[in-house]
Amino acid sequence: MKRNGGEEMSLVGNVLIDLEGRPPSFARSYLADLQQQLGPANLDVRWRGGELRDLPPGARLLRHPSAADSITSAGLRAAQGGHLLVLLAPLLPDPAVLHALGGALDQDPLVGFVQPRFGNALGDGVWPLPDGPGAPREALSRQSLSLLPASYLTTEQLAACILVRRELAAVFGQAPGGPEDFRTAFALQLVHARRRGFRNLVLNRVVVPTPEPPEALYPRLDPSSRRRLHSLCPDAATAEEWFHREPSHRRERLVSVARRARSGSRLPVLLDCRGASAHHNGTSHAMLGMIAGLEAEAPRWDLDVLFGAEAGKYHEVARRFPSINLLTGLPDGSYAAAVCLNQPWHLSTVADLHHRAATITFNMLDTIGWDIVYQCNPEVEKAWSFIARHADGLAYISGFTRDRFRFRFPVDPGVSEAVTHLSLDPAEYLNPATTNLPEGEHLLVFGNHYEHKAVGPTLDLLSRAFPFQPLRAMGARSERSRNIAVLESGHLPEVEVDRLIATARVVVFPSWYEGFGLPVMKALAYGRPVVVRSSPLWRELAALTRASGRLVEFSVPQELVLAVGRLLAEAPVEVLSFGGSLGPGSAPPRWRDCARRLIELVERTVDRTDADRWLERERTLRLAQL
Amino acid sequence: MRILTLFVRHGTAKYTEALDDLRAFQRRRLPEVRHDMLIVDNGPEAPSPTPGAEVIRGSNRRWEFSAWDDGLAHVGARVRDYDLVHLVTSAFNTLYTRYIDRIGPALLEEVAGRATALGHVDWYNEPVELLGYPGQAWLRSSFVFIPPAELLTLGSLVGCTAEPEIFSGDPTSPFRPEAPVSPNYRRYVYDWLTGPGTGQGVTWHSRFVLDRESLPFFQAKAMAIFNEQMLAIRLRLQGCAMVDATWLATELGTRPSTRRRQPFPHWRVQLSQRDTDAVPLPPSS
Repeated sequence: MKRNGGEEMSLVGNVLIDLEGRPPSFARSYLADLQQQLGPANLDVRWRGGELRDLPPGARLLRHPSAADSITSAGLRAAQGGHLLVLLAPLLPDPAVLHALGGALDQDPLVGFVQPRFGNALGDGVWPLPDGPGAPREALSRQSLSLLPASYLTTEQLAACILVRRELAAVFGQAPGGPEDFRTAFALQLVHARRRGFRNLVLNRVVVPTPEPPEALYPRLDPSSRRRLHSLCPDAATAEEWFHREPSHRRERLVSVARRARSGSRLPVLLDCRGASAHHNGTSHAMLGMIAGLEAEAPRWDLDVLFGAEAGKYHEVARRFPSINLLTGLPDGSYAAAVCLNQPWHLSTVADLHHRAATITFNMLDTIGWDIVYQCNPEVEKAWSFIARHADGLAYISGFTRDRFRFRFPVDPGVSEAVTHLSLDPAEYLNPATTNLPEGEHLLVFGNHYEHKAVGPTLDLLSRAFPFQPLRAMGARSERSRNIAVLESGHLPEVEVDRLIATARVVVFPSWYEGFGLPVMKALAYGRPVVVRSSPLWRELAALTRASGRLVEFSVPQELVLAVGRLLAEAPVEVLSFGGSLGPGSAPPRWRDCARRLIELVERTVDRTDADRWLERERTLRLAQL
Repeated sequence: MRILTLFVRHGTAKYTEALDDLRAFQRRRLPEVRHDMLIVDNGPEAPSPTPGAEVIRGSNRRWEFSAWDDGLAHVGARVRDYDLVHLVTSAFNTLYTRYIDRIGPALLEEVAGRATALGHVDWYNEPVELLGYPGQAWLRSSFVFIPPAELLTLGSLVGCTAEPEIFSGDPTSPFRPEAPVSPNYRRYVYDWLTGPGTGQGVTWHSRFVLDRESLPFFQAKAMAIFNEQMLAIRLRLQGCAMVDATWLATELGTRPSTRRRQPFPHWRVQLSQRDTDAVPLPPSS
């Protein structure tokens, strides 16, 4: 580095060190080490203890009773050459670190001070930036360093090692009546520097290892000193607030959680099942199946499973899955990944997970909520557009659902996707209490009251076509004919639903639109003939299963009547063939296989964790004020 | 413990015993460790398959340093599944090798999961400067253990790519006058590659006469030396301690097993406290 006249001077010619309160023997030994480390440099030592002899050359004691005088004195020396390194703790920064700090001042003429990060010399971690009182002080994994930006430009922040631009150090000074405490006086200089337009640069990949505790590395002024500083410069409090509201604090914590420091570490994962209702439906069934698969697959995860209290109780989650950690309220902790086992209906659900996890994944069951409009809140479009752009992972329970979602909400290339399916193994759908029951007399029409399930029109049609055939209907609003018995969908005990399906002569599933169709899989597992409305979904699923039932498609009402008639008459029908996508000898996917695909997807998102992606998501959510 | 070994070679004609020697070391000193090995072959021929290891082709753009980059790119995110990455070249068993058999499970346990790189610390008698950074000691890069986190933070093992600013193209004065290499460093490099060594009583086994024909090799070899120095500088910059294997073996052999972990001392202290081949601290220390 050269001054204007071209005369060589060292990059860091001057060091101001606060050694107040340290024993003389420690101070002597430390100053000798520091001199050896830095080479020729002026060491200004803030010292108010007893005699301190045998100082290394270049060291002088600043015994001013006024802290401001000490700072002014060191600043004046800095004006003679080199920037001013201020050490508030006895650190031994490597000369390469000082070179990097000095070089960083050249990045922008209004970077006033530069600070490194601090590593725990006794372990693996890097200390987090101070995030306000009471914030966790757990060290960040060093693996997260590679994912952070090279630097942060912040408001002023006291740290144990700060390189101050020479021009600023040279004008350090204080009006009479300023703070007497050294750190407060120094903090006041940083405030004034910021008021002149100079910012603080934190170099994230320049690390000073030290055994000093984080409290010493990021010293907090005591309450009365803070009050004094804030009374002198009220904007110091504003700058502090700006520093603390930086999203980098949370981002660092989450990225650190996502990065396992050593092999064998478990991944903290939050499974959000708040979408489960306190009654039986496909969503709950799919969630419980996936949890069972996860339990069987036992990934190296520390898994917290979040249910609504009522739904958790209704489905007896704690009894069914004793090994999982069941939560019924949003946790405060940090997770490597959060997985929502159903599609989010509100952006606030996405924000809940984003604030708690480095990566977020959503399991898309279907897109019908958005398509049909009338049963859906207007927020859903925002939520789905957002996750298509900003989620880390999207799982789909079928290729059919994936294609519908992608067509409606183009998915960003940065989103990892996987079709996990739900179980296609008939054995996993059979209830021992309802297997091997004799075939009954009834024809079962399955669905619910939503218009796309088409239960009502189908019942009308079939009761007219087969007036003497007993019909049972899941999900119709009323009994429309004498030969129809209507059963309320959702609240019938599961075993009764199984019994109805297992004993039906024919099951008709007339839905226009399904993401998977669990009742179809169940009916096929019980060996029942099932008539479904034609959809690419059924061909996809048939190719992945080997069931004892038969799957028959129809497109128009006449075909439905014809298919049901032939099945009731035990006449030949055209059926979809099973197992076309399964290799010879390979079995249909079980819940465990589906869970494995979900695990692979989630771990892929964690492997690909990109701190910038989290930050972009945060900024977008902040714009939406979430 | 899981270790990924990235073994770099330039064909198999030279250092023919290197791979067997490395495997013998693993069997002898680290039998309990799970080793995975990836060989990066910088040679011009298609690499020949090697039993027990995956072999990929290296670009040889920056010798072993780019080869390790090639290896790490090949391994990708899986590198995080390892406790340590062992960077090795086929020349590892040449020059001073006594430190190699000091390395064992206890040393690796001491460094795994910490911000440390373990190997053999070499040094110059005086501090040197490269690309503006001060340096004096470095880890011999032919045999070094580094946690994956440190490699990920480095990003690339190639730290010096400044040939146009460094070399003049003139064998009689190979460095540009304004090269970002301190004069004493130029002298160390020149003397090591062509003459009497660096003033420590050791000469290089393959020294040569620098002329127009050997100039490209001189430049490539000098770049490897600079990259080795830059690796040490960049590791220190990110707070990763250089740990000398002989010193750590000495330290673990003498300290009570119950003693708590301590910060690793400065390299000068480490070298002065080796139980063999100690380097006295200068009087000012």
